[in-house]
Amino acid sequence: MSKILNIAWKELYITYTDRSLLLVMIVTPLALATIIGSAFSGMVGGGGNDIPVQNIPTAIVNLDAPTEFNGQTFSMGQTLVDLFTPSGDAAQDADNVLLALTDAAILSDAEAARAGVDDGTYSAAIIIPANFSQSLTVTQDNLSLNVAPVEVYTSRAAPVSASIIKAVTENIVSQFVTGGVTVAATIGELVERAQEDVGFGLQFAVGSANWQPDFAPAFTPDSQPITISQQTVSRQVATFNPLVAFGAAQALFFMIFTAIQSANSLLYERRDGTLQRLIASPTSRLTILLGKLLGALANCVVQVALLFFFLNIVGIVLSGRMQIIWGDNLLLVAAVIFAGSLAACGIGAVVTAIARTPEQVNIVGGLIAMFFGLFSGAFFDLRSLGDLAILGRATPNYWAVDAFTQLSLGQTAITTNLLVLLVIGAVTFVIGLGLFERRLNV
Amino acid sequence: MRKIWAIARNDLRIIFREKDIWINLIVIPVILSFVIGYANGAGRVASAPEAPDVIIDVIDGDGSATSQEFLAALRAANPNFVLCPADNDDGDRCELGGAAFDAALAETRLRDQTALALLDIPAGFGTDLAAGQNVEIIYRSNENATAPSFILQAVQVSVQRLGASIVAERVGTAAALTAPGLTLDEGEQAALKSDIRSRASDLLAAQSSYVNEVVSETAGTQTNPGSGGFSQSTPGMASMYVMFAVFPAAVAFMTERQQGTLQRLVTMPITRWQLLGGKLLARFLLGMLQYSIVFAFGYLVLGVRFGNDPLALLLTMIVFTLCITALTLALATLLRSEAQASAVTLLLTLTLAPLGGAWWPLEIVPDWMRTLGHVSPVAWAMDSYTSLIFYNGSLATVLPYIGVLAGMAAVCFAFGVARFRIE
Repeated sequence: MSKILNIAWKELYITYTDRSLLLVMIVTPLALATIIGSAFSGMVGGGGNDIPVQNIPTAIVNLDAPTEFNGQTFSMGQTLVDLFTPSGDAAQDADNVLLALTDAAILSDAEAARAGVDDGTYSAAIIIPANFSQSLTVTQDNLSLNVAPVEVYTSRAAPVSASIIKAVTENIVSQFVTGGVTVAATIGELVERAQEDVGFGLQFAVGSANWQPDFAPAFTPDSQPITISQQTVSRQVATFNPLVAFGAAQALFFMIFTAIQSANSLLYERRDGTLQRLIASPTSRLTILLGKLLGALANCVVQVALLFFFLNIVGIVLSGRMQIIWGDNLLLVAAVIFAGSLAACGIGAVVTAIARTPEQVNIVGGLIAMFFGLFSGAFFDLRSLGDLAILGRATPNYWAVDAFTQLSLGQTAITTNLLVLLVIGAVTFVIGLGLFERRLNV
Repeated sequence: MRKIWAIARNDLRIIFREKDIWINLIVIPVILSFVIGYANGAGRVASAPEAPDVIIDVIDGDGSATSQEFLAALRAANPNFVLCPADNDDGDRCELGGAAFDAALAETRLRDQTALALLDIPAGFGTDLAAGQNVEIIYRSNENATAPSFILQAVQVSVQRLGASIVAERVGTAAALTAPGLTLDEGEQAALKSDIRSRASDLLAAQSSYVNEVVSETAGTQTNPGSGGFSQSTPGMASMYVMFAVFPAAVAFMTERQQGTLQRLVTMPITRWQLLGGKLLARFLLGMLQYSIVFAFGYLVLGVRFGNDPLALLLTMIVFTLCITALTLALATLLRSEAQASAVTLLLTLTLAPLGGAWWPLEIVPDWMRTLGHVSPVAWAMDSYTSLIFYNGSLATVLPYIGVLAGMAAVCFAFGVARFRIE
């Protein structure tokens, strides 16, 4: 046993005293996870969870002509423009999300706005049609509504900005429609009653000139009676911490390389003749193999543990508050690190045992690591792959990353994840060991 | 020039002797261009909203007419939504497999992604709304957290539609009761409320859409409308793999210096400039080959169109590759060993690429990251490709980006040449 531990310790010592290797194993994934995490989160700005898109260059063209209702002039187009480009104190309101979200410019020519989107000056153009106010207003002669849609002209070069501008515009117009529908439904109902009930009809006809109904609440978002509480799969209020998701995925991605390269060191040692020397010593082959694979396992565990530690520091620095981003149950986090490392080492052992040369291991191992990384969310949110995301389940990385994400949210139901990882690890470890034992004819 | 070419040719011969070169030049960049383009929206834009049977589980704890009205609005928002278990049929569209639907099963189905989203409508939803109280619907999803969700958007639209009729009922009734000559008892008031809401629902149902999205039909998107994600990933992955192809020259310099082959070469009748020129030319050509392979794949397979100015495209490719080649030379003068060179170049490639927008469009990152990203030559190259592919850019429009890349290349070359030592 002490020989196995000695060999494993030597592997660990060689790895963690090599500064260049540390650059690849620790600094690179740490830098990458920080970049991806920052790109996909608003945490640097203070804890938001949305995509941190701000100052979207937007052109607004108001072709709307004001209309009259009950003696008052309405210009819904201008109201929409004012929401995007407020004046006075409102223009300095730091809490105005719309103001932060967009950098709106008022244009008078729709074609110029479209051309601005075509050439990249604007990410989107909002073009309010000429009959917009009229389409939202009822008259005694026309009690129906037929909302003239606002045009949102977008470019595929900025799909996220485009979808945000479209959603924002849709929300605002929807509020206007709510107001318009309220007015239309109420007036329509009263007119119908007036036609059916002559007494009321006469009084209504006489008094309506001075009647000032308060429809204003229907035009404000505060009147919306239904709210949506967004939650994650784990019943948490949707808090997407990209540093956890991408950090764990990057750690696992680079750990697969470590596992494969650690196992590959056997083939390099055989080529260099040091393995033959080791076998010539009073040490059994099984002891050597177990020592090597245990060393690989230790390398992986230490690498992921170090990465998690440093990622946590990055999380603290970026958010400005003390926290453990991996959740409270560090024992389970350690268990997943161990199980994930075991699975990775087992796969590394099988790949190395099957390959003939260290170069073959590099080629096949690189492809396997890339597949595992792509389908475990190391480079983008896995769910953006739609149906293809199911391929992730064939990778140990997916099960480990999923477990880390759940643990970070305070969920501990990760038995399946642990079982899958341990089974992959145990099976591949034994197969790798068996194949090596048979092939170790030096 | 003949000597430079001879050195370059020899280096290329050595490079192409390596077994994994074609995997790095073709297989990996091509796969990455496809998968990352798909993730960046090519797949989603083309298929998600039209995908058959988007399963959404619904726990309707209320079961009232109002909750049914909301669910009907949701079905109307996207005909491909299958609201389970209500919409299950003999063909088991809900994929229930005969199991009884309950909260625990819904939880499992959401976790294993049988259902993409779960809606929880609380008990008392209808009566609370009728009593003038506000209510909350719980939406749990399995969707991409980094992109706008088409299911959530549909839920929001449906909530707004139902909410609008309720707002009309509440605000409209209050306003109507102030109408001159209208005196109603409690029962008549209730009837008025109901009539206004019903009228509002009819009016809302008659509206088609509030916003009409028109997507710009500029170059690069005309031929294949779903190629937006690929139009981003193809130049992005190509630029990253140009770095993977060229940066190893720094490692090769270390290796040759250690093995003494560099020293041997300078004893030959060639100048230091010819030696450097030959070595760098080999890597430059490899970088251009890398670009050509990925761009050809993008054009022929992914349907990416590169704009209307091939000269501007070619110049961007050349100047970016030149810039990376010059950066490699500069790096080679700062590094001391093969291992160090391998590690540093890997770190640089994997940070400069995402920072510069090779993995995702820079429009989604915060302003400070966008500014920081332009430290990377990749950002300037991507600016140029974006202009050409999406905005019908010409040589005149991309000249500033090419100019910056050329400037970076000049600085790195000057630094590298001044510091480069054979020993």
